[in-house]
Amino acid sequence: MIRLVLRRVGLAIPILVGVSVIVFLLMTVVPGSPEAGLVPEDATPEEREAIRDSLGLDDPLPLRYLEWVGNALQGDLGYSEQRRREVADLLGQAWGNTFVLALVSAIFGIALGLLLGYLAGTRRGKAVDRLVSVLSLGGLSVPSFFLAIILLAVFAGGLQLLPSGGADFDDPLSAARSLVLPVLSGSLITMAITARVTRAGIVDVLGADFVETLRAKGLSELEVRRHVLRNAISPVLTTSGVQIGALLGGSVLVETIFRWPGMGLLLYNAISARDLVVVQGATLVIALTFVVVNLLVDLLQAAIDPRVRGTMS
Amino acid sequence: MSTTTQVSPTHSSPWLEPRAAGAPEPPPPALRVTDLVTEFRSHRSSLRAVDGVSFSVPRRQVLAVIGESGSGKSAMLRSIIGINPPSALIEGRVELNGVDILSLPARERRRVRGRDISMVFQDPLTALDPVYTIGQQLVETVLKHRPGASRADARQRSLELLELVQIPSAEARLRAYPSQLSGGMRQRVVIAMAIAGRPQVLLADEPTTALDVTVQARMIRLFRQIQQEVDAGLVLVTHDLGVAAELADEVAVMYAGRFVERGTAQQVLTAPQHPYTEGLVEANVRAGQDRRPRAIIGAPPSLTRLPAGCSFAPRCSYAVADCWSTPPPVRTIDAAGSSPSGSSSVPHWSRCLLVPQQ
Repeated sequence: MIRLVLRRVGLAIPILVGVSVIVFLLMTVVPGSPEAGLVPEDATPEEREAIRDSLGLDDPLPLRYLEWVGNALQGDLGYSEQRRREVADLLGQAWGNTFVLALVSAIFGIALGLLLGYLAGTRRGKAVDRLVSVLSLGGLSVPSFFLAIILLAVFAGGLQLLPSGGADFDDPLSAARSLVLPVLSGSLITMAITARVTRAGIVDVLGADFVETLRAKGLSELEVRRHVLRNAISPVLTTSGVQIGALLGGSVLVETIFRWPGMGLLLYNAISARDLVVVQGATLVIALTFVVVNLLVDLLQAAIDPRVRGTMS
Repeated sequence: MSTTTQVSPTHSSPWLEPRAAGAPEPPPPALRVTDLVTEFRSHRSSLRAVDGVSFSVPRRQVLAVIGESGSGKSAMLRSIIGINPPSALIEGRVELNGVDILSLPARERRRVRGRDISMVFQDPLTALDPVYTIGQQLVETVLKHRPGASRADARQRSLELLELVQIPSAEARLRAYPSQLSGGMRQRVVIAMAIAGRPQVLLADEPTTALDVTVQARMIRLFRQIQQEVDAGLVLVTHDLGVAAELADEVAVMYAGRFVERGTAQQVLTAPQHPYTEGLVEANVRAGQDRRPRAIIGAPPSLTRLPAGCSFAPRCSYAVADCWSTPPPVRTIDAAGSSPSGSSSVPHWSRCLLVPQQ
């Protein structure tokens, strides 16, 4: 198992290098020059050149890449002239806020999805199964921003029950209240996907021969289902990993609608303002988050399912 | 749990209690099945997979049930141990040591399952849970049937079970996952699991079919040995007449959900009376035989539309007009031809109009 962990971590490194190269190159190919937002409109070519020079924008690409990565490794992702803040500071704060939202959304969505999928899978063809099927299809089809707007109109607008956006992290109760609507709209897809994958897995495993052996051994239905669930959980973990990764990247739409000061909102604002250093940093952090989450999920899977362990090593 | 219904001779059977006087009556057979019917109902049609089967198996005896695929053999075993899907309707009596387990409440019936009666399945490659180790699955089974035992005791017992089924380096195998063992080894594990509760009845659903031919013979010998060792009655479903001949004391032939012939292995396999049995024997390939095996014409009937008379009539080369209209009677075969050797007192009978009446 320790060797397996080392192997997987080793595999993650080239992925991260690749991601960093792409993020870096993207920023060099977008139209418009990076200094455009920093110099006055009537700046002379000499003044522009001075700024470019001070930012190292005329150095050869590989050199600029190495410098950028070197700084990034030390936690220096550059300075946003527009926000007048270190990019790392901005990202740190936004990531923390997104983490809270993502964690609650993931737990809510995955737990509810597992429960619904389990109920549907073990009561195949019954009313519960059909209800879950409709719910999850709906969850997949309704865009999160649409649901967000409906929720806003009903709970914040009409009923005046919950805040419409923003978050005051100094007051836990107020923070919790402002979490409700973003979590509901952000976790719907996670819930739907988890429910579908869980149901499919359970139906599949319930038809397996070894379930008969378990019943013939005299195990109770509950004990049989413990076996079934552990067999069915592998694909659920895979999709959960992708979902958690996506949630941690911050939903641009949900965060923007609810003015949740996370990665999504930061990214949205940075793109609108052409704040390229922030976009670059945010993209890198989101990619890093994805890689780490999927690494953790892979390892968790290997711990649960010996067959996965076999294919990994 | 003080309300356990113990279906074992020491507790519930009056037969083994010391008797004051009189000749001891014979103990009830390990398994007695009476008029077993298994019906699968859907909103459109109903289908009788098992249609009134009766038999009994004493301890240490082997009954082989032979027949084509779809004759109801597997459904019968699943009905006896009680693992048919909920859509199956089961009637009749299934007695273990005189106690009808079909009439027990679900909880107590489950307690009997795996302890007093257990089952070995056809395909060892899929019969074990792939994500638990052999040890975990064995320990779970042992603990299930000995609620008081400690985990260490259960582990020790699991080790003994693996040694009993002749698995080499059992200690290491306990930590292995099913995928790390060969088919033969996995079948041994399945057998070990089946005898964990020291059952008085073992059911086996084609236990050698999925195995490599070279492993089959060894497995059959092991089976016999284990069954004698745990002192259980064995119901063996197979379509391999060689396996039946080697293992069975008695053979029953199943067709369209019913037994059509029954007798000692010797009687049924060497002097078959029912045309269907004759067909099965002739279709069998044996080493060194000089004639070509002959297939039975046609396919088993659809169980939703059985003919009015004998269900084998459409495929039978001896069939006369009466066979199509009247249900065939059960006729006993004159014992003069076959020697009455063996402990079995079951007469050789055949469900066929053409067997001469005595």
